This record gives sequence, C-alpha cells and structure tokens, in this order.
Amino acid sequence: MKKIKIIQYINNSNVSKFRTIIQIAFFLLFVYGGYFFINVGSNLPIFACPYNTGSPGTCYLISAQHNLHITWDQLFSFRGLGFITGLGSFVLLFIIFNKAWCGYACPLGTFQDWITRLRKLTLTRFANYDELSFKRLSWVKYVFLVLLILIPLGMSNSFFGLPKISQDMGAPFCQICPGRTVLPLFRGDTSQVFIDFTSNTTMVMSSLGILFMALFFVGSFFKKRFFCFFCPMSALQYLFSKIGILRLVKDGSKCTRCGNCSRVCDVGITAIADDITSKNIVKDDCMMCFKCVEACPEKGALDVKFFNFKIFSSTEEGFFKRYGQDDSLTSKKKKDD
Amino acid sequence: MIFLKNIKKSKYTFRSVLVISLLLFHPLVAQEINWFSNMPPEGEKNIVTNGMHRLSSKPGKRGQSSIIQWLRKGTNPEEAEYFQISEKENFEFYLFSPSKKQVEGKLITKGGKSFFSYVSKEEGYYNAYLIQKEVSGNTLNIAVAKSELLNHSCRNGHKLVRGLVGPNLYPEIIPIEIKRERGFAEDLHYFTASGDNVEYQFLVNGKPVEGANLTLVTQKNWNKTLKTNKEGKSTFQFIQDYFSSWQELNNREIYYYLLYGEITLPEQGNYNGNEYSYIHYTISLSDGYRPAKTMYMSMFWAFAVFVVTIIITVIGIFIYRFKRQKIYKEIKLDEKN
Amino acid sequence: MINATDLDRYNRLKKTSTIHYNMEVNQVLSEIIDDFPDKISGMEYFYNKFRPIETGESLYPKDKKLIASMCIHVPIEIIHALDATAVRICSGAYSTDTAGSDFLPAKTCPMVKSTLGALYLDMLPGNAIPDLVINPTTCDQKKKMGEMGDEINKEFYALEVPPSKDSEEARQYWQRNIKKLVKKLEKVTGNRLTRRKLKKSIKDIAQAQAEYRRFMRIRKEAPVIFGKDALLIANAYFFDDVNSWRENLAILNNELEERIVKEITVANSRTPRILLTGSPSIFPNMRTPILLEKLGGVVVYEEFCSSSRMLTDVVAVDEWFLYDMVPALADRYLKPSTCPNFTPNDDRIRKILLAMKDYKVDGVVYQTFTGCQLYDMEARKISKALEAEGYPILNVELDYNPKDSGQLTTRLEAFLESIKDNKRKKQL
Repeated sequence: MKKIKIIQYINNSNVSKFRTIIQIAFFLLFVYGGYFFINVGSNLPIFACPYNTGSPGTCYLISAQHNLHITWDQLFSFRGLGFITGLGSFVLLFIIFNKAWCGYACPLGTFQDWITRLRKLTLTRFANYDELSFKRLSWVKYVFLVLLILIPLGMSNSFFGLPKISQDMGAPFCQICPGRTVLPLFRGDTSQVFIDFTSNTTMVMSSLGILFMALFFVGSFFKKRFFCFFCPMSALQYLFSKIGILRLVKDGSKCTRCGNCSRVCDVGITAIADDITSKNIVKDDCMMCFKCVEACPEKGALDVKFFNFKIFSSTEEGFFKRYGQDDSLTSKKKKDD
Repeated sequence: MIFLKNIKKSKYTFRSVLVISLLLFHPLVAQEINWFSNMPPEGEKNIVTNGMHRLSSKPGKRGQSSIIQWLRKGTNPEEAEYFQISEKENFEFYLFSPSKKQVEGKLITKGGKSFFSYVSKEEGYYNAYLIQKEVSGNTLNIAVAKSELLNHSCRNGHKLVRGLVGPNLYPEIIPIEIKRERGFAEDLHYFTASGDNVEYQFLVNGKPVEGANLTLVTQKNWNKTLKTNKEGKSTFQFIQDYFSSWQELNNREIYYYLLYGEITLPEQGNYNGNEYSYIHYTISLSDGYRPAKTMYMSMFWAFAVFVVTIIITVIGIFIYRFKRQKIYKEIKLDEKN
Repeated sequence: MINATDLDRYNRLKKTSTIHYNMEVNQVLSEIIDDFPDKISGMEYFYNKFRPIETGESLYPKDKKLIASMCIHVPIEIIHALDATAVRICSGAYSTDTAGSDFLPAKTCPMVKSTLGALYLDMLPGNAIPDLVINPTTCDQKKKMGEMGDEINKEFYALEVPPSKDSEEARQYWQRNIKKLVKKLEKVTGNRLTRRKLKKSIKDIAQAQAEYRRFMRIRKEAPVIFGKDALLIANAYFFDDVNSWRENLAILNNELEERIVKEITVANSRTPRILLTGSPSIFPNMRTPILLEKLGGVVVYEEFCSSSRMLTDVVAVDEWFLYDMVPALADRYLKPSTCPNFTPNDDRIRKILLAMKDYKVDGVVYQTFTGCQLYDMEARKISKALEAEGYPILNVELDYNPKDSGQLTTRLEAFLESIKDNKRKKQL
C-alpha cells in the first residue's frame, strides 16, 4: 500500500516545478562549480563550457574536436585511444540520463528556459516552426556534427590531396557556439565577446560566433529552446539514445492523439502525439523534460522508465491535479477585483 | 580597419620615435654571440610551427616529432649566420627534461649548418644548453647558449599545470642563466606577445648578479640594453615591429628575438692549465613572440555585429508576424514548362 | 412570418408539437425511471433537467447572450469566457422531426430534421432562444441545414471544420477558423475575450470533465449504473450550467462509490456488457439503450458524440495566454475527435478497441439513423476490426419514430441471447 501511495504521489507531482529547481542547481554547478574545486571531467554531454573559467568540467564536443585534431597515423595508433576513451566515457555518462541531460542539466538550455520566462512576462507569442520547416531545419545539427568531426581531421590531414585546413579553425564549433560567448557572461566575463582580426579565418569565425550569439538571444526569446534545435550535441546524443537507461515509452493503443503532449512540447515534436506505433518515443530534438507525460490524461499512455522501472507515468489524476485546478491566475484575479 | 589604425597611432607613435632614436644613438654591440635558434634557414622544409605551442619541429613517424634548434652566431636575428660546430671543438651539450632529468639529444651537421635535435615526450619545458669555455689572456670566457622550449599537447590534459611551468635551473652544471620570471597564472599556453613586460633574472652559479648588461634584440634588429638591478632582474617590454596590412591579417606570424647578457667578474682559477683572473660570462636565449592578441581583438566590432543582428532579426520577426495576420498564405506553384 | 396564415399555421404547429413533445418526454422519462426497479437518488437532479417546463419560460439567465451550438467541435470554453450561455441544441425529439421535414428531404437524418424543427418552433431544451447558432460544417446534412437560417429566422454561423484532422494544413486552417469564431462571438456578445476569463472557463470545464472521467472510472470498475442513466447525464451537459452539473455528478459519483462498496449492482457476471456506438442517442431518442437494458443487457460504454466523445478529451495549455490557449482549444476540439466526417478516422477503431478491453465489453451495438450516411459507411470498417478481434457486433438502423420498435426488440434480444450463450459456455 505504501508503495502505491508513493507512486501515486510521484505521478501526481508537478515535474516541471521539480525540473525548474534541478535546473537552477545544475546551472550553479556547471557555471560556478569550478570555484568550489569541483571537477566533473571533460566528457560531459552538456554545454559545460571551459571558456567560462568557473566551469567544473568540459563539454564533450571540445574534447572530441581536440581528440580528432590528429593525423591518420596518430588516429590509428595509441593516440587514437584518446578519442575512443573520450567517446566511451561520454556515452557511459550520457546513457544514464539519456536526453534528460539536455532538459535538466545543460546550462545553456536552462538559460533559454529563463529567456522564455522573460518572454512570457512581455505577453509575446512564441514562434513555432511549421511541419515543413521543422523537417528541413532538423538536418542542421547533423551538418554541424559532421563538420566538427571533419574540420579537425582536415586540419591535420589532407583530404583527397586538398590543402590542409587552416589551424585557425581549431575547435571550429566552439568558435561559433553561443555557449562560449554567453556562459562566461554569468561570471561577468565579456572577454569572449570579440571579433578576432588575427586572420581572415578567425575574423569570419568570430563574426559568426557573435552572429550566433545574437541569434541565440533573439531566437530563444521568440522560440522555446531555439538553439537546441541546431545543437550538434543533441545530434550526437541521439546516436546513442536508443541504449539509454532512462527512457520515454509510449503505449500507442492508449493514445487518443489529442495532441496535448505535442502542444506543451518545448521543442515542438509532433510525433509524440501522432506516432502510435513506436514504443520508444524519444526523438532527436527531445530533451526529456517530461512535460508531455504531465500533459497526458490517458493512464499509462506515456511512461518514463529507468531500466524497466516506471518512475513516472501519465495518469488521469495527475493530469487534473496539474491542469484541471484553478491556480494563481484566478487568485490574482480575486485580488484585482 | 579604421579602428586598427587608430590603435596603432595612439599607442605606438611615441614608441616608434623612441625606437628610431635608440637605433641612432645606441652603440651597437659588435660581439660574437652563439645562440640556439628555432628559426630555420631558408630552403629548409619539414619544419612546422605547431599551432599555438610553437615547436620548431620535424614531424617523425607515429606521431613523434623532434625539436630542432639551429646553432647561430651574431646579434642580428635576421642576419646571424648558421654555423657548423665540429666535435673537436671545446663544447658541452646539456638537455634537461621537464622532470629535471638529463636526457640525450643529438648534434647533427648538415651542409655546413649544425643543429641540435631531441625528442620531447614529457609535458613542460625542455632546457637545452651549449657551453663553451676558453681562456684568452687572463680571462676565462664562459659562453652559454640556452633554449627553453615548451612541450604541450592539450590532448594530455591540463592538470598539474602549476608544477610544469617551471622555471627549472641547474646551477651545479650550468654556471650562468637567464631566467624568465613566470606570470602568476601562467599555463602551458604561454606565448610572449608584443606589449608584454617580461622580467628576466641574470644568475651566476645560482646567485643573482647586479649590474650585468642584458640586451634584447628583435628580429628587425631593434635592440635595448638594460643593467640588472639588485635582484639581478631587468624588465623588457616587447615592442611590436610587425604590422600586417588589412588584406593579410595574421597575428599568428611568429617573430624571433634574441636576449643575451654578459658580465665580467673577478675570479682567479685555472682552466686546462691556463691561469685566469677574470671570468667573462655570456649567455643567450632566443624564442619567438607574436603580435599582441588584444591588438587583433575588437569588442567594439563584436558589439556592432551583435546589435545589428538583433535589430535585423527582431524587425524581421515582426514583419513576418504582421504579414501572417493576412488571412491566407498563398502557396507558390512552379510555372516552368 | 410574412402573413397571418403562415403565422397561424406556425402557431398551430408549435402548439401540437409542444403537446406531442411533452407527451414524448414524459413517456420516455417514465420508461427510464419507472420501468427499472433500480433507483439512484443522485439521478433525480438529472431526470428533472429533462422534464418539460409547462410555463414555457426560459431556463437561462436573461442578461446573458445565448449561443447555441451543434456537434462537438465548438469550443464552449470560449463562449463561457465571453459571459454567454452555451447550449448544444442537437435534438432527439420525434415531435419536432415533422416540423423539420418541411425544410429538408424526407431521407435526411432525423437528428438534423428534429434539430431544425426545434429551432424553427423555438422548442429547444430549457426554452432557449439563441442569439447565434454555431453550426460546424461536419456532415453534409448539418451543412445544408445551416443554410435554412433565413427561413427559420435564426442566425447561423458556419464554423468550417476541415475534412481531415491529420494534416498540418487542416490544423492551421482550423485554428484560424477558431480565431475567426472568437472575433464573431466577441461581436455577438459585445464582450472581449480575456485570458483570465478563458483560463477560468478552461479550468471549470476541465473540472467537469474530471468528474465525468471519475464517473467513467466507476463504471469501469463495476456495473453500478445503467447506460441509459449515463447517457442522460452526458445529455444534461448539453444545456446545464457546467458547475452545477459537475457538483451534482460528484454527488452521484459518491453515491455510486458507496454502491461499489455495498456491492449494489445493476448487472451480474452473466449480464452481457454492451458498448453502444454509431449515430448518437440524444434524449428523448433513447430507444436502443432502454431496450437493451430492459432485455437484460447493460450498456457500459457509449462511443457517442453525445457522451464520451464530447467529454473525455481535455485541454492542456503550455502558456496561459490567449496566443496559446485558443490554439490549444482548437487542437482539443479537432485532434482527438473521432467524428466520422474526418478521413481517415482510424482513431475511432482504436478508441473502440481500447474500450472493449478496458470496459470488458462482450458485444457492440452499432446504431445508425436512417439517412445518416457517415456512420452507415463507417459501420463496415468498425465491424471488420471488431470481428478480427473476435467481438460480436450488431448493426441496427432506426429513425426517431418510436412506433417501429418491434423489429429492433427482436434483433437486440437475439443478440443478447447469443452473447449470454457465449458467456455461459466460457464460464463453464
């Protein structure tokens, strides 16, 4: 009986509020943790940016770009082990929480959620991609991922007799990543906001970096989780998402396709509502915030599983606890009256 | 462009006047100084400047590369001749690894030019010394050519950096030293840049010497001589004598400098059967330096790009939203054929 | 009314229809209440809702505009938020069927005819006089009915429903239409839609739906209430005040829960459990459920647009502002709808199959009104899907005329008997 009560309590709980708190904690950890001598390694599946000196760890994309900045000879020698162990520890870390890293831990993602809150205060409507743009744009992150692998290799090796890529392209994604420019701002460090006239390459790349920073601010103001849609980390994670221990599972037979889940989805995934055949419903843009599970009134249609234990399920009771009850807005109204 | 020019004018006009006056009035030291140079002679290939870690090296097999230090004579870095040293001559070579162990290096002579070559495996500073001793008249001349080169690969991580930056000194073996004082937060990415104030300490048998002459010569043969203070220290500011035009932005261009110092101290002794009553110490140290990074970084331009992007995208979004209010968005059909 | 003869004729028609209507209602109510020994005190409120008002007065607040709607695609949250009364006017009365026949061909679906007749004669539930009739363009008959506005002196608003609900275009189109509807309603009611009011009305209706879902959970657990009563409850939602409906349903639910504890049921383990689907049973056209339950079956689930389809699906909103609430409402009234006017409509098959398992259904009765093409055409697909799963299904066709019940009774009886036989065999 006690067990049932605990399960009921969890299923009735407001995961979004819990997430907000967890996000703040992780944000503090990954932006200021370095000051408390915390070290969490260099293969994190989130944007813990070492350009921000307060960061206690390193985003795996940096490690990957560094590890791949070697010649073919080196890649297939003991040096190549560096890449393999790096990837291995990234995957091991990643599969524990699967894409929930994005929804709960990534400081850049958290910051975007805060910008969304700011937008709500201004009563501005959010933007949504239509289906076609969604499909077209979802390739961008994979292009970024391929480039951030190929460019470092191209700096050390020549592809098909082409000249090697300039050394100024070192860590190419970092140069355009808004994480590099934005996250140091949280410790009052504006030193990453510059255009580097060192060479033509750095000038172009650093200008792109600033451009993306500006687009990051505007984009995430109007579109929830704007940058995540183009994030190569998300693309890389998705390659290993199938073996994740934390999973989001759908029972299509219980689904009424009412679309509540896709409506509350911050990244605008429609498959969560329309796909009634897949069991594993984690898509490449999914950040496992589990808002969809919260918004699903059909018992057992959506389940969050850790190994094979259901840790959070959609229930009718939980749904009406979260969506059916009058809350702050009406109480405010009473005050107004 | 305008911005860059402004900086040049405001900061360096006074200095260039100073440079010219110094060139005119300072007596040129006409002395034979032997030094280690990582500037390869013309026509020599397979020498690369390895990213930001400035190794003059020759890539070897399986990812190993050897460091090469050319032997040169003269005080003008651009014109100093590459010379040959024969085994019969009276010299000693020493090479110390970052862990302060004496390791093997090779002296190779090719086409009348000698170079010292070694393989660097450990992280940190490798110190190489060439010591020549000879007696002329009543003076023992001890000439030391020193090179202190950093070996670092980011792939090996950045832990224990504080222990690796040195400086390492060997007063029992090397009688005379120039020690570059390390900055407070210096790490393994250190690179001297123009505008930097660098402090050098002149040491004989491990003890600082006051009143020694230290001379800094840049690649374009600008030089400055200072006497060491009570602590045996002199501080040089590296000037910028390299300015690129707008079309060929390149602050990765490495320019070389030569630093040498000398002092004659009264000391009686016997060397190889020759009595002397004075010792004339000479030491040289050469390395590269780059134009200051900040010279090529513009926060102003970054801010401009940032603001312009934000204005354009926000206006774009509002125009788009305004247009959307029209009832029907027409689908464009292809009229070809 | 142009001339005196027409007016006279109209008045006479209204008078006779009202008499017939009152008779019809009283007869059906007595069948529902008195022919069954089982009495649930909580049902009294709902029964009373259907009793004819002899004075002819309107039940609704006079200072509010009254917006009538048909089908399940009209977001009534918006109507409530605009301080107007929402009444769903789909009618099941045979007595107004004849009046409607004057405007429409004889083979038209009786529900459309009856509704049009009721509108024409102002014999809507609770004597409502609508300021606007929102007519979603679902089936052809509803569409054409909406063109009779001038003749019956009522203002119709055609709410354009897309023929499909899966495509992105349909969603966009529908959301735009809902926004247009908001503008129209703002004009009619003279009020402005505010986010606070809309949020409140969304929450109010969500609470009512939560209560209905609780009711369905109770029915799932044990057969403590007959399907005819369940249908009446959902029917009352058409025109009742949402909050008082919810409160009374809560009282009933409490009573039913007590019944579960006391093990007072309306059926035993051998009673055939029936799922009712097809053209909607709307009071007083309750023949099929009444007959089924008189003959010893029990209706455990109704897949009707007059009951579960109308009340089950709930709105979820991410940001409680009009820019999200209105599209969210639009989505809720489009996407989960299993109305057969959508193509494809596989969701309906899935919904029925899920209910078969959830409610431990023994057989399906699929009712089609004469002239109701869409349900008739879907019957085949549903039958095939159910037969593939091994469930028996009975297709019945009927109209609103209560006199030809003979054949229906025989068929239902035979169907129930065969289910009973099967059950007996299984239990042995």
